[in-house]
Amino acid sequence: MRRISALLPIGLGLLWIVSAVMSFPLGSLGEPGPALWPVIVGVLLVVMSLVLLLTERDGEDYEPFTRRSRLVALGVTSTAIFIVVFEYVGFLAAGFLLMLFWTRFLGRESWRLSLLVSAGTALAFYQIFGPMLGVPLPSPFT
Amino acid sequence: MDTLNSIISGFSVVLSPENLLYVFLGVFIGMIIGVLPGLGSSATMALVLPFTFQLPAEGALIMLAGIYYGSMYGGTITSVLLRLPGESATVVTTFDGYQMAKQGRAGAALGIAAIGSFVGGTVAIVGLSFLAPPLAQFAIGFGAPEYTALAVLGILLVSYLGTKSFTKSLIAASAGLLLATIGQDPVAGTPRFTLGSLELLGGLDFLVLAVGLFGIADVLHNLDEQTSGRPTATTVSRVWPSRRDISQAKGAIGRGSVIGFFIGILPGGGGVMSSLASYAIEKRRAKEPQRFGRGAIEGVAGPETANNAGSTSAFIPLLTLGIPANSATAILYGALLLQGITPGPFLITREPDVFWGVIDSMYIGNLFLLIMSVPLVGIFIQILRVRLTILGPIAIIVTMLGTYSINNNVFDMWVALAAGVVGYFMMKSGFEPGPLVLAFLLGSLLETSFRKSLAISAGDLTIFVTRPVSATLFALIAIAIGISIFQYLRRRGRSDEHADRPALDSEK
Repeated sequence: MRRISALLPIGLGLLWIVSAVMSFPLGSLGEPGPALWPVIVGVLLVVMSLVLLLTERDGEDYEPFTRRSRLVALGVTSTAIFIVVFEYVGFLAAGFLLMLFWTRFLGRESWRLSLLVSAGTALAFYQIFGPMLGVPLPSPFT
Repeated sequence: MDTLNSIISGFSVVLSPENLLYVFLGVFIGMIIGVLPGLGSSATMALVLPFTFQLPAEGALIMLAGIYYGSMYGGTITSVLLRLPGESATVVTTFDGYQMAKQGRAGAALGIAAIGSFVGGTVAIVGLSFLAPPLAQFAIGFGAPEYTALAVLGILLVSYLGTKSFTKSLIAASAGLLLATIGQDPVAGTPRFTLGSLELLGGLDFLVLAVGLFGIADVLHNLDEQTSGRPTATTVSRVWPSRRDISQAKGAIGRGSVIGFFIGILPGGGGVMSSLASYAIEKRRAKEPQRFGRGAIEGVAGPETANNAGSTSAFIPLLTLGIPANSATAILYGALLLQGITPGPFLITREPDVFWGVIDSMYIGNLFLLIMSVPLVGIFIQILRVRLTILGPIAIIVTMLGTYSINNNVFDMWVALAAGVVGYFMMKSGFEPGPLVLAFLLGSLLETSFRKSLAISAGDLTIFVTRPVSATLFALIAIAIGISIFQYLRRRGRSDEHADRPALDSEK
């Protein structure tokens, strides 16, 4: 984990530098081109990451991944599904299902509580964002 | 006096029923959120931001400001009662506050914190009222090199004063700068890093990033955390300190206000640093320093005062220079942009209603804090019972809806989710999201100023050191870097003999 946290930014920085230089003119100090700043920032990122790689002594900062971390993956996936689906089935249905999944399966709450809370939340926010704030929310009927 | 007139006319803005409502709402929401461990004040402000789009400019800012310092006090409540800092700025309060609670003096601790917060906030506001206009005047003379220097200083200080590693914060900041380059080149207009996508042409939306990096990441991180049984809150009898307590804490409150005010003005300063500094100073000043860590009331009064003063004076760089000093003011900056207002030295003359309205709302807000803290403590303890398992998904729904409502665009929801995932990994690895967000915000300002400076000087880099203001700022930057390198080398030397690092448990 420690290696990745230093190497990833290095990779990112190098990617930025290379793609900037290949796509647009660097210009000069007197007449900076669009690539100049991205290159400067990319260099900064790479340098700082190298510093990290060389100077970090202990793993104190790093929190380990536990079995509970799988819940995070589930949470992210379910939210992704929500985003894909919500334009087709509408916010009410998608929101209700997402809440239900999180409270019942990720939160281990009882069915009764989960259903109640999910329905309540979905309805409440549909009201607040839809009619009250005037945001056009997709629904399966349009 | 001109300033006095402005302050008074500002009150006429604030004392309208709607704006009073916004102050009240802001402080109330802020307190609730501050009480809940898991959602920081920046995350809440980011979540509420899309709602505020519908409100007039002063209303939006007043409410967000209320959330900001309301959540400071909410964090104090959990620090004292549960030894859980609800806010990073209230970590210090856990040292002595919880001890006082165990000794049955929870009421005194909470009361003195409320009094101290009020005094600190008020002192800072007065300072702000009188300091801001001349500072804004002075800042009008600022040109591109000065803004470059300020932006760099701000990013550096936020990274330096963060609670985790300086290097990592700088990496986060650089990543933020990198992300800011996505979109159109601010000077030439060429699309950069857009991968041909139309959505990316406008660049990433700051709000969406903030909501994802703070809000969603927080929720994901909480999912991960082992929620072991929380210690039951000790009962609170009287929420008010005795006369003796007050007289003991007087000095700490006075010192805390001043310390907090000055540290808060620095770009990168704010509540956390102020409270740490105040605690250190109080402990050093005390005739019996052993009392600290065992329920010394100065250990609560000083830092609480300082963190309120500091969070308030952090508004100064935002309102006068247009440079946000920390994550919370960065979000306020975003709010102003949403309203079509560009903060800067001209804010005070162009939009005096907004400027003085916000400042005066702080006076009122602080008063509300003091009044509301007493009766509401009981309610807040009840709220703590609502489990994170329910709050978490609610926050996710709000985030998704909020980001969608900004541009009616599903793409933003993906960005927010992605930012949330990145933020989660950052939290697991000890990186702070604050510097990333701040750097992202300042990124285009920094690049534009930098290129303009070069254009003015025709490529001559010495322009940054020949102009007096910019030279001073860069000197400060050099000193800051020098100090941190020096400290690092010293620590290296010491740790080669024995591994010894004071562990400061800090939450967000």
